[in-house]
Amino acid sequence: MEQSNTLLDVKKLEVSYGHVDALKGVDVTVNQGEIVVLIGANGAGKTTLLDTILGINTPRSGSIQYNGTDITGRSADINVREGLTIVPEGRGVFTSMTVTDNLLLGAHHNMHESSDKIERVYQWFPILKERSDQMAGTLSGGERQMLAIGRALMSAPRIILVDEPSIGLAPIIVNNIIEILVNLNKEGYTILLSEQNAYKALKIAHRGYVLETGQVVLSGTAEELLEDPAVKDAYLGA
Amino acid sequence: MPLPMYYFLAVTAIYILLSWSIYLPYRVMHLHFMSVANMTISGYLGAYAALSWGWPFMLVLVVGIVVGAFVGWITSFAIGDAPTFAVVIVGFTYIYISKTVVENTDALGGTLGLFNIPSIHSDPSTSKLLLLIIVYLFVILMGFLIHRFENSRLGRAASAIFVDHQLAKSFGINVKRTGMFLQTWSSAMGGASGVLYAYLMRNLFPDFFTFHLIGIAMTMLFVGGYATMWGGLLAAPLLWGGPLLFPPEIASWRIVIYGTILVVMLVLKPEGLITRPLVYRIESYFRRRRDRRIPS
Repeated sequence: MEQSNTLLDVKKLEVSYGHVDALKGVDVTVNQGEIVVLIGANGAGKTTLLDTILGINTPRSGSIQYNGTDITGRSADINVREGLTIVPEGRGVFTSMTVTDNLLLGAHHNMHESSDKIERVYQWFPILKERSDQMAGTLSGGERQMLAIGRALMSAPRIILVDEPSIGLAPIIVNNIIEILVNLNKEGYTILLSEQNAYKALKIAHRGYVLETGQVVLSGTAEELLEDPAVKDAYLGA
Repeated sequence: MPLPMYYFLAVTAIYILLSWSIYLPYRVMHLHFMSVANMTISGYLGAYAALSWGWPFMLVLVVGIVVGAFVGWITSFAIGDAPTFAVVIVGFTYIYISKTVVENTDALGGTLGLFNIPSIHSDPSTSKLLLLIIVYLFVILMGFLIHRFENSRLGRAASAIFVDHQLAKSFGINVKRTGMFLQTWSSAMGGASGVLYAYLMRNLFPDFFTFHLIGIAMTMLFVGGYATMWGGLLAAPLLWGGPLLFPPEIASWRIVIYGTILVVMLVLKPEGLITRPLVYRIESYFRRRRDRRIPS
């Protein structure tokens, strides 16, 4: 019963860059409809984990099961086609392309009904419709983050990997982005969120994992982690 | 048509094709000089087939394109997603090998080259005019296809790869397949350029297909603007035609002039004369004008 609800199951994942071990046997599970948060300092391995799940990095060992299928080492273009997508760290918008072209990039693997998909994104983010013909480089930080999320939605994903969405944004904009993620989750999107702002992330998450130097050192429900003395001490500034 | 005008138009068309053949793979950050090697291979193959086997022009052109595409496609399995420097080295190697093979093959005229490549019509004037029409029709066709490509999902994918190929991968873009496609297309254009050049000039010399040809094509691309197809189209007639107006004593310094212009442009305006935002502004202007004309 529990198995059928599991959308993503990462087991004993090890990734290294040359002689540097970035992930050392990471286990992470994400169930359908959840927001799961990865907490950790810079260099903990959060981005490496997300990139490896998507298929950009090749793991040294371990396995990644997505929707019951082993996708370990499978290339990103197939994974995106199958419903995985990422909102990359630093937004990753293409500044010399228009907002519309950035959005269409998200639907690269399936342009079918792309105008309907764009309209749906514009319903989520009306400001992007106003800016549709502008170069993405003219957008504010918050608008760029919306564009990055909108682009991810263009691929009609089942799970969205969101990497450090609050980086470089004003607190009020961060609140907006967090609210958007909650609303997306209510719409049925499963979200695996990597975030340094542990408090805000745990407030909206169902469960969480704490990563330190490439290992999961703590996991539990968001409430448990919010109350955990070690988490409070290290990440919540208590 | 006066002979100087004929040569100006003919060689301009070849340089437009050559600069586009370098432009296309550069859309994914590949400086793919194999188009020059493919010019040599298809040009000589075509000339030999026309001279020895009596093949008609159209057959030679088609075979030249196919051979160019095949060579590019096979090689692209190895360098479709290779780093820029590796693609450059492979291109140089192919140029060196193809030139050496031609120079050491008596059937291809060796260092003296091949002469008296047949005309496509019995009347020389008609032949030249017909050939120019065919060449420019080919340029228009390639320009149309490249313009379509620019505004397609593959064009957007290439733009993404150019900026950040890791990020492009995260959108599900197959970086290698995109690189292979563009390298194959570029090689096919190189092959076509070789055959067309052979028929336009009616002779081939191995010394033409050397590194200075890369220098000229690169200057056209980077001075005109490497981010859009219009750069090569603007720079080819300017840079090829300009020196023709110079006195002979200055014209012989053409390569030095090209080099200086290239360095100055790279320092002062690295994206070249025609930039992507400029093209976008012009397109937006015409779009707005068109929209105003259509009553609501």
